[in-house]
Amino acid sequence: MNTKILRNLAFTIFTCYATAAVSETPHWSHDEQSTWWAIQDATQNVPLNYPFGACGIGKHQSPIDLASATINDTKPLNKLAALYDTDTTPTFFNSGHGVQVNTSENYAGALMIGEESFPLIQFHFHEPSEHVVEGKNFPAELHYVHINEDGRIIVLAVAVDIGEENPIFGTILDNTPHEERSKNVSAGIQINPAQLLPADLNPANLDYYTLAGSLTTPPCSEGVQWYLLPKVITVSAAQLEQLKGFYTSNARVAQDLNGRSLLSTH
Amino acid sequence: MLIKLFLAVSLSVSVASCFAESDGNKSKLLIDPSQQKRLSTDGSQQKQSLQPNASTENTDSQSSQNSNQGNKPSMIEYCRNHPC
Repeated sequence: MNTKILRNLAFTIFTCYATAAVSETPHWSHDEQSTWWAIQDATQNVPLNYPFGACGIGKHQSPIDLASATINDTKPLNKLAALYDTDTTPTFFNSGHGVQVNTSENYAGALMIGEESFPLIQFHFHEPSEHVVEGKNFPAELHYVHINEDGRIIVLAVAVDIGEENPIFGTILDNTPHEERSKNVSAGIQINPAQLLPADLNPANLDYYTLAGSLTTPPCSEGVQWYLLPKVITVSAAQLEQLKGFYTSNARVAQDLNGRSLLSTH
Repeated sequence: MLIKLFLAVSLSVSVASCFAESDGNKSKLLIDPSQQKRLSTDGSQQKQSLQPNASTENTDSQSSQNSNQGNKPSMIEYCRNHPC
């Protein structure tokens, strides 16, 4: 009887340890992005002990310098529609690397690419922008992250400039906790992600640039399709300072194109 | 005569302000046209010559999409807890 209890206890401890080892990723920061690929996970064996290897050896990495890419607007492309509605229970998340809003589990908002639907999972901000034009950053960049049923990742990116105050951006900043890895499940605060899109674009038929890329943070997984809006949104200088109060310089530098071109609808 | 002149000036000013306002509502562009490296778009021959490349791009895109399949639960959970 005692042996059985001890065996069950040992199995439980092992299971807990193994689960923790698999689910936790090694610590990383934007300051050390040139060596993300070399960060080791001591709990894994070769080659899994280099979980961020794609950051160094990947050939379709993001972000890029948009001015260095050839723009091809001769190919017919799918219609792009951001069908975001109001999320009544979003989660404001300080991810430890940026300001992020997670949509609720039952949120129906999605990005439509042609006839395919990609549910919006979260959106977050980088300061300064990750995509650059002739080496020059915008003050910030917004990424809408979508993942569909078979795990394909689509990111819709919007550059952020200094200008008029942005009310919904203010609401997000005011409700994001300052403590790293903390979440604030909104108490009655509703967010419509569509309100962050450029006002003079039609959400139901967006112009865009698109190219194949990767996650811009470890593990830098490739197979991510990027859609970049041709218009920028604005936040006030004070709001940008408020964003910097959370994180600053949380942007990856531009990566090599390796033969990729930008496809464009316009 | 003065009334006609006044009306003409008023009309010009109102038209000008109307155009100025519509410009003000436009967002700044992500990539300025002077910074864009465009593929030549003149003529259908250009489009036809791009078709083989375009189909190659489709194949590449499809293969990258396939390689991403099967990671639904883990990627959604991962991206809720990390920036992605």
